[in-house]
Amino acid sequence: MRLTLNKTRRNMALLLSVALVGAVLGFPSAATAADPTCTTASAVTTCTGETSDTAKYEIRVPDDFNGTLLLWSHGYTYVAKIPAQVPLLGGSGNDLRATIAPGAPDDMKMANALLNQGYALAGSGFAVPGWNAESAVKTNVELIGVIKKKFPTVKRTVAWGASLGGTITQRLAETNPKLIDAALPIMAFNNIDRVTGSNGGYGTDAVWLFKMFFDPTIKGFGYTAGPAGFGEAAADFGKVLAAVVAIQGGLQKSGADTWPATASLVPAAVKAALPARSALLMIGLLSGMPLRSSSFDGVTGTPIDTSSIAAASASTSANTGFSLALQPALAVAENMVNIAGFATFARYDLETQVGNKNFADNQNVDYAKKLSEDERATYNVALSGEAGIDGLLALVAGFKQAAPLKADADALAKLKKLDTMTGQINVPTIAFNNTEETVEFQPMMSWMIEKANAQHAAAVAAAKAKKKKAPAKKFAAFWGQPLDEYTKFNAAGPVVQSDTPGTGHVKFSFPQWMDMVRLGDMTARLKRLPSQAILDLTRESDPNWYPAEDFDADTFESIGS
Amino acid sequence: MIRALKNRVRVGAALVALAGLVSSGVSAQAAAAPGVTKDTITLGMTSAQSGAASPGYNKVGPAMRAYFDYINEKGGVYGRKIVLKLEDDKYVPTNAVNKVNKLILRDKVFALVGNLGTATHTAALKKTPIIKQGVPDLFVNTGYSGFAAPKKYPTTFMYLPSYIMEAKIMAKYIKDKFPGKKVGILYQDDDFGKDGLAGFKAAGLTFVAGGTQKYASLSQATVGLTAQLTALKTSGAEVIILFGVTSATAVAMRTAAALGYGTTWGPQFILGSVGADPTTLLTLAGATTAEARAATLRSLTGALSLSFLPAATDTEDEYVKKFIEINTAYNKGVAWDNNVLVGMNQAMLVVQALRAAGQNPTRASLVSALKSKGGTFASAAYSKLDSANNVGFTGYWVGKYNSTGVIAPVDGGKPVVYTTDSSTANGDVATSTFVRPAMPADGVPTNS
Repeated sequence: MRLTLNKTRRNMALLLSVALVGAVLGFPSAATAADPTCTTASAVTTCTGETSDTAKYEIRVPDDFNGTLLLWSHGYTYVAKIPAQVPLLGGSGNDLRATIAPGAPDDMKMANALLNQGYALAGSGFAVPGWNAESAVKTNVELIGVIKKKFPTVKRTVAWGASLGGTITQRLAETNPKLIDAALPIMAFNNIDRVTGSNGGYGTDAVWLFKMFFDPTIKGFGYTAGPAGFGEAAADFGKVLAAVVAIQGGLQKSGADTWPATASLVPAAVKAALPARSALLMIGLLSGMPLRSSSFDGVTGTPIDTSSIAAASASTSANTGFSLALQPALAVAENMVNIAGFATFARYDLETQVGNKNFADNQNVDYAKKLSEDERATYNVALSGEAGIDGLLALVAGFKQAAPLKADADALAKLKKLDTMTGQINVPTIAFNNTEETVEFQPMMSWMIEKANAQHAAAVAAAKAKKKKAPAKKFAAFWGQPLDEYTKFNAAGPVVQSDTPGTGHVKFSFPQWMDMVRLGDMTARLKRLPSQAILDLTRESDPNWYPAEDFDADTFESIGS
Repeated sequence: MIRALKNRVRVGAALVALAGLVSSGVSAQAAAAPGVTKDTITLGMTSAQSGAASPGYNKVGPAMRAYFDYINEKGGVYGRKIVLKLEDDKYVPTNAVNKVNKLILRDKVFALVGNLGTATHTAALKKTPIIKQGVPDLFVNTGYSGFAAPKKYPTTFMYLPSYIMEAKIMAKYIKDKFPGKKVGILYQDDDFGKDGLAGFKAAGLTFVAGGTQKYASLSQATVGLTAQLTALKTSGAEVIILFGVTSATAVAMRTAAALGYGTTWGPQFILGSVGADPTTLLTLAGATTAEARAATLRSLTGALSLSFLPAATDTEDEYVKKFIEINTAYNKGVAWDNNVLVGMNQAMLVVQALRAAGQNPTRASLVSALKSKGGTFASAAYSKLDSANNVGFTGYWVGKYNSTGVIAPVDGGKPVVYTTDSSTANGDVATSTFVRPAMPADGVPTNS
């Protein structure tokens, strides 16, 4: 029922968005939307309303407004409510509430902090759930018009947003640069087809390899149209979770008893020779997944028992063994669950948008080439040596030969059209990502950096040809990172942590969020990026920032997508 | 709370005001070599200072620092004192990346020296700005031949002879001294072992059927290597090469003893150099009791191994003698052994490289100086340092352990040093004619 309603709303939104095209090109007009309803309490004026596409919005302006508006774009919301019985994700999805800052509306800590600092905040809930980048940009354009009409005291606008919200922010800056003074795209999702579609890709590889190694009953691709397909995605997520839990249970062991019962495609001889954790890590490496997670730092070993020399010796061996052999696989397990939510429910959404066909394809992928020599050396222990590595790669080659993914050409073409982000930098922009981000993984940021650098280099060359002063850079990148060591143990084993900055999906510390706003505000005031010294000072002031701009991140090419 | 937040706003505004002012100063500062001041040169090192892989290896860094302290007291390098920042990577690659990033980006060291481990340093080279920033990466403590690759790793220089060289020299020795004997091998199933196998293959050494055994790195402690040693015994191998890390050698020797080695089973064991330090073997064998120590020594007695430095017990050697003096005075409480010798010798090379880089060294001048002059540096090693090609030392001598754990040239007298290269196209090995430079007066280099 909810799905049907959403479809209807999406269709209405599409019709409305066509009508809005004219408004996008010039100064935004708020004529089609009703005026907002405003109230003032506790020195903050709060306005709510709906844009012409029925998207709900909210605006908050403090009495001591400093002139800077922060326009927030929230991230992806699943196209329907996920059934309550689905672990971890049950009850989430189809959330179209207006969102004015990270965490809002459920957690207003950051919003209130920013209001206290004099910023005005605004954000929409957007008209439709799911992948909605273009429709959301139009909503934001209209919303900016509403705000400027209602609050002429707005002197400058900083657009910011995370995940799909980062994409929306970047697209807003690309298409409507005159409306904003600075852009802060945070984990901007781009290259949908490289990530989820043709020639393998992160989202494709992670799920397909997991399915083949651990549970071939996972559907993964080509979901049925309508609510039945959403149910298949929910079932898949549950299967991934169940297999991960089973593997985690056997992580400390070696050999056949570490494999989940559902791993029916893996020969018994392989199971006897190799622990499942090595296969799990291989999935992480071949898909380009981060090998540090919210709970597992890739470093910390189990506690050392110093009660006696013998105990210390034995526990020191276990300590190092945990770090080298288990930590990377444990991180992949945690990240896999994180990824699976998007890789199932979001894939369902995207398949729906391209005609209910599979667009994933790995026929031309040489998985053996995706494992670099450096990775073979670095993770040799966890992959059970060269013999383990070669054995696992041979198994993957066999899987692919037996059951490769084949995309529907028309669906793939439609998918590519959804990928509208160009990477063009039209306003001063500071982009953010995390080194261990699980959804908008490193290559997405690398792609933005490459695009921006190429654009700047071309502008410099053009200026040189005309004997003019070289233009200033308009783009800077910040990488968040976790601390070196954060894995914790209690008597029962490793402690599960969910909000470790630099890991998971869009995880930053509160001071990092404040850094972003300060840099954005500074950029908007200066009409250019802050000086390199300010950028460097910010990076070096907090251990959760990588202390240099030139982080040597993975690229799509380096991971073979 | 509100006040605190408003203060933040003021700080933010102040930063805005600063934004336009400070950029010019930064570019001036960027001209100076990172890590070099009027008074100091700061160097960085990562190594396994704790954890299961640390015994023995954790003495190398402090030994380097002790030698630097000694040099600092003698006036430093052109008046600058050497500061060594030593980070514990626990032999975990991810941690090595963290620590090298810290050293380069936060501590802003001038150069890296003596980083230890194949997997750890591979990860560091891949995921840190060593290459991008041209950070000199001197005297890596591993024999993996892949690091001597000037095109891929232009600033990385090896210290140990490569595992390929070691295998080629070992193969020649076996073919010369044990002709017709059946040979078996236990190797680590990673780049270390692959390098060794490539060397044995190049030298034409073949192994008896069933006599090629491997272990996954770190599995030695849990599996005990019983299956592998049993297979080697069954194969009838009369010469058995243990080409693994020290902890694997310790387990293998213990397991061999349990299978009758020394009583009913008498193969000739030959130990790879990185797995053969007797002090570490005794430590790893849990040699806290007289019985355990005696059992370990019994297993070791008569085993052969290869060395590129003099025996740490050779107190007549002028380098060993001076380094022992420095260790006693500047590395108080640390027992002298082969690991300390490795570190001291390495530190002396670093000092010579810094001197050769000039009175106002840059990262580029250090790399250039090492390439052009490294082969002339004074060192305890019995073979030439081939730094012109980013290669480490180039030769080994063969020794035998006696019943007290002391290694001495196998035929008595002066060591016969064999030399070769890392080519896998041939197994050519020659007797070295290299003449070792004398120890600089008072152990203080004066080169330029």
